[in-house]
Amino acid sequence: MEVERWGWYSIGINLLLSALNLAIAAASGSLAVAAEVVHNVVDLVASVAGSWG
Amino acid sequence: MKLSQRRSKEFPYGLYKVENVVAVGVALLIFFTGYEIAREAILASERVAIVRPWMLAGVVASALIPLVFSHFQMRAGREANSPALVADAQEYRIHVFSSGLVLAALVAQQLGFRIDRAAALIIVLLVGKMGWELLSDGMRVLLDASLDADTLQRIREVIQAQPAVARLVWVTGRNAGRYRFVEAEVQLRARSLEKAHAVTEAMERAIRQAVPHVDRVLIHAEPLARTEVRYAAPLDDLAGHISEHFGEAPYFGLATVRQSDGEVLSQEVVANPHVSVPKARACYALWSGCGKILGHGQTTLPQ
Repeated sequence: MEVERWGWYSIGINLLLSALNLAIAAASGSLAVAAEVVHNVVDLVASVAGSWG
Repeated sequence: MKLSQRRSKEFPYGLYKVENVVAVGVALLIFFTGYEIAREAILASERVAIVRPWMLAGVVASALIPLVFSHFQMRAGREANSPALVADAQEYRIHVFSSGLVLAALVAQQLGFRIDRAAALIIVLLVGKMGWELLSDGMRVLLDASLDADTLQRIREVIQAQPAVARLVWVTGRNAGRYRFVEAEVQLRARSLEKAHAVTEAMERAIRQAVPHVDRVLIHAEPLARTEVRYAAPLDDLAGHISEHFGEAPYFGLATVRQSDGEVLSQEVVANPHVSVPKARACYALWSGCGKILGHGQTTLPQ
């Protein structure tokens, strides 16, 4: 199913962005990057819930 | 999304709204994110970020990846009419802006300007706005708001294009996830149940062709209200004397009367062409489409 496939893509992208921003936030100590990590993680949870819901 | 496509005895209308519930949940998570960012930006102690070239490259990548992904996901979401996919694509666009702000904050840091907190607060505003739109759209569907005006107008046009439809009384509809439920009441120029059924089936097919993602069409059909009644009286002569016989009467007096005020709209006397037929002579009056037949003892038509 097309819609379902996009759900899995979304999970993959959010995992990648979360990991990337987490590494940058940890190394830089930037508040803006840290906030972006939280943003990514919330999106990852939403993607997982959306695909398995 | 899987769950939303299930249908069971307990949920005969499907679980399509699960998609909207998820969209509302995403909106609430976005509000939570915004709160967390704002709290950090306002209350956290001042920190000086360390910026390296690989970090800048990483932030650029974290802006480009969601930009490309959201473009294709938005297109797929619109084609599938999926609110969950469209909501997800919109959320990725927030990431493009927020990653751009993060990049600006890190570059400014290199140049000696500390805008890290300001960038974080702008991200909060962007996140909050998108969250409100998602919440609003999701709640409208959960509360059974009407289909949008353009879709309803398209359905009206499809119904009125059916030749047997005399009048469209009302049409309404609602969304559930990416699917649509349509209801209408029409008056048909059809007396038989078979014809009315065939007309409503054709109407349903036409609506499904004109409007995508229609799950169910419910059409209440009623016959066109009769406004006139035709009376027939067997006559002995052209002067209008009522005959004691019906089938053997040489003439019939026919009158069309408007039901609302009883006004006689037309009157005529015709010869009975079947007077010499041995049987079924009375059928003439019925073939003439008479609603009522006057017999002996009734000397006048109703006024």
